[in-house]
Amino acid sequence: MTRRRSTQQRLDPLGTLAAWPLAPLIASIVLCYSVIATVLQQSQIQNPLFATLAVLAMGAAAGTLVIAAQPANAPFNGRMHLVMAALALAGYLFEQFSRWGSNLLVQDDFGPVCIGFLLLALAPYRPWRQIALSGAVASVVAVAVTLPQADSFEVTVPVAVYAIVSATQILAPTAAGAAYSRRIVRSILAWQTDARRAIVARTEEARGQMARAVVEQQVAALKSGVIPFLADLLERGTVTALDIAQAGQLAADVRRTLVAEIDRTWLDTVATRERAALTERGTPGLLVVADPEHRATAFRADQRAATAALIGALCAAPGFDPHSLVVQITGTAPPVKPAPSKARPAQPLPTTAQDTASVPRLPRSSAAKPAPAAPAPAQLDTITIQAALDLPPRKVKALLRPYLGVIRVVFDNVRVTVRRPSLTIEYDSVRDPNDASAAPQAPATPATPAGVRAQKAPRQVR
Amino acid sequence: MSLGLPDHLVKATLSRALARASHWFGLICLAGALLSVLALSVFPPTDRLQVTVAAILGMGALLALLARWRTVPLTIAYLLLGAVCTYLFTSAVLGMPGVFPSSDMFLISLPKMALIMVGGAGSGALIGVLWSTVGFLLAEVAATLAVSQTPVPDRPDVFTIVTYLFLVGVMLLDGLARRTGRTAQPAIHRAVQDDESRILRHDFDVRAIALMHDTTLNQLVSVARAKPGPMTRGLEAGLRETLQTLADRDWLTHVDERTATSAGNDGWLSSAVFRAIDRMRDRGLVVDITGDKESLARLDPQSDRELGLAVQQCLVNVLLHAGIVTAEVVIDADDQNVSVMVLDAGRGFMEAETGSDRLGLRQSVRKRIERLGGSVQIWSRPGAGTSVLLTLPAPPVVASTIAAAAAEEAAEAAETDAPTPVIPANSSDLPPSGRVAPARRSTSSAAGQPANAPTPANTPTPTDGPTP
Repeated sequence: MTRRRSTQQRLDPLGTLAAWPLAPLIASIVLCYSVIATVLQQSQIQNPLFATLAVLAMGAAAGTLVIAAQPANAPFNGRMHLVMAALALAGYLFEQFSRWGSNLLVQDDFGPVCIGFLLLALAPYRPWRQIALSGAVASVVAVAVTLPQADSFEVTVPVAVYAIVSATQILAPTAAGAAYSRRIVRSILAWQTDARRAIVARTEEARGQMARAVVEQQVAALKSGVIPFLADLLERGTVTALDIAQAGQLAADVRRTLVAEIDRTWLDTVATRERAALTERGTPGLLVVADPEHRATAFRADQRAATAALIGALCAAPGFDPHSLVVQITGTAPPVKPAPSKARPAQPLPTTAQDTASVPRLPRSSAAKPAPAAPAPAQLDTITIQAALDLPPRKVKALLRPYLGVIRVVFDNVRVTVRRPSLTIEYDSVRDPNDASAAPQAPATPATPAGVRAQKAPRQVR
Repeated sequence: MSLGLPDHLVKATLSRALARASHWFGLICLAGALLSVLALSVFPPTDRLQVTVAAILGMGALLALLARWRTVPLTIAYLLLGAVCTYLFTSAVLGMPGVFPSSDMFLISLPKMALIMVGGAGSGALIGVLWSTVGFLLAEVAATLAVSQTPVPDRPDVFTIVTYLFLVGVMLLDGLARRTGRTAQPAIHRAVQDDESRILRHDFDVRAIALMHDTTLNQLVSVARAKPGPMTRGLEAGLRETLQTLADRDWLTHVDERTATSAGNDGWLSSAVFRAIDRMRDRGLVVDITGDKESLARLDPQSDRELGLAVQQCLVNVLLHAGIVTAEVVIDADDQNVSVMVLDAGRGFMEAETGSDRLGLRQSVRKRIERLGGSVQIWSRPGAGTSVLLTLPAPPVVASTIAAAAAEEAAEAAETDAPTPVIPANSSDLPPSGRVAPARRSTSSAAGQPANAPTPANTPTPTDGPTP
């Protein structure tokens, strides 16, 4: 998302949840005001049909605002913005037509005030430029319909004053909304820059510990089998048939471990961590991740973080059944890469010298990538999270509201089904076809030694 | 990245954004008022509106200044000039003979609404409501006075009243509404952090696996392909080299050269101070750490724990200073002491004026550290930030790798040192003016150190120990 099109809702979904009551409040003000103004100024109305249409259109605009701003429908998109503004403008025009020729005052017309209020309500949801532009267009229309009615106004002032009144009623709240949107987005972006810097620094702090842990883990794994075997072999100085068989077996084992490790996605890491957390809390559990096609690797950083936080919240929720969590990823988008074990199921474990010749070829080679499919209309990865949560549905929803608020902004089409005790959350990630090549970036972070990816002849490291 | 605002920034940020919105609302109202006055004075031509034009321009200029610097004097000046302007505007416009039938004209509301939209100094919903209420009352009084001097009948101004009520409603809603998901924000922050760590870890894993592949797996395959019988020279050399690689710390160099060349910092990462800082970072505080982090490993477990809790309390205090993004922690050590300084560029306070609400600082920080024989010094001035220096006695510790004899020697030395109590310097002799208002993201830990703070640069760290 570009900086120009940032909104508070996209940058800080949780903060926007707190501002949600404003939308229905403004919508009800708009609806009540248009009804009251119509009733009180009956005498000015020439065309009751247009007057009715005006109230209906304004009501529809208010309804659009409420529906589009609802947390369940986040994020508020440009189409809804356009629909709302168009309905409000139509309401205003109908109102003016209904009293054309007998409009006594501009200031008591509900149109400009309602448009102003509705555009003000967009502040947390829409980019400031679009709010300001909508306000500018509406005020131009207001001036255009006010000037020709000069003859009917009861106060004898220059007609420009009437135009100023109607335009100000739209522009003042719109400018306020745009200024809020601009200011809050800048503040959040500034904070995110700080936070980003802090996160990088914090990661760097733990770098040494992490590197040592990785090495220790590898060495510990070898110490139980491979190292004694090789040391013994070196000591004896001769190779027996049994040694050859054992070497083949060990190579297959090592290979299997390496493949499993390299195939771990962030989702496996999240599951491992949550499993450890559950054990720590005294309720060891079973978390299942079903992602045979490694679709998880195509997820973006914000999607990964939001999903991890959601899974963490579920596991920590009261009434959570530690054996119930299943996370599954399916979809229509081409798999990120075929799982090596699935792609070559027939390959036997190398037990003979001939077979082992092919062993050192590690997976994740570029050759294993499927040919890019013809661009499908919708390339989706669908993640399904199922869990058993023994809580009243109302509480489940309250618990998940903030997390789903974030999920809705970074994913599409979020579906939540609560049937006590079972809970199913499904959402889609639309994969950008242009970005497909960059998608599997996670496993091959920069500076990955060539030995892993390329099918070069193995080399010795000194 | 959907990393929303942390709790401690919400109030100030919302307050700034709402003030900005109010100012723009006010400016548009004033622009409307100005244009209307100009239109009215052009046709029919009158002179009486000229003063009003000047007053509106002045009010607009003051509002623009207020939008830039939200200070109390500017707020008050704006309210006063606004009231005068409202009076002039109302009497000038309604004073036009036979034009307006009553006072409840939208035109009349324009300067009044601009006055309500003062968006004054300070953060917090209640202060905002207070300023707006003052603006509303001043506007109503000025307008009523002006209307009473004109023949036009006075009617309640619905526009101003509704605007006022709406603004107050929004400010109360934004300021007082409990943000849903207060716990969710740290969780998401944590998830972003974990993801970042995972990427680095994955990178290390991949490199380790590459090495594993190049050495172990290749060697096993060579053995598997060998012919039974005596080993060839090539195979033997390969095996020897692989075993050597696996035994050596070569691995670490291959996985992460930077770690291999730098000293380990596990002592820092396992210290309670680090964990306290880590918790505060989850809550959205940006903490910069400089200095001799490893020296914290010298603290005994109890001191470590207590120091961690004290640092946490200091950072909680920073969080409570709404609007502060960063704090700085400087760690320092000499032969006898380990000190931690927590600095922020926040609001600051006068220690003499602190009431019972400063229990945290007095109880959780001072008592805690003093019980362990340490000292606490606080420098703070309103508007100039706060610095808290926590010093704890910590005997030099010898590294585990050093020979037993050397260890004994050092232990004896530590014992002889122990009875000498570490007398903390009195805070009065330390006016560290340079540190009271710390520069944000300052990295110089030694430069402006208070007089009693140890300078590790020229003192060899005891952990280096004697060479056997």
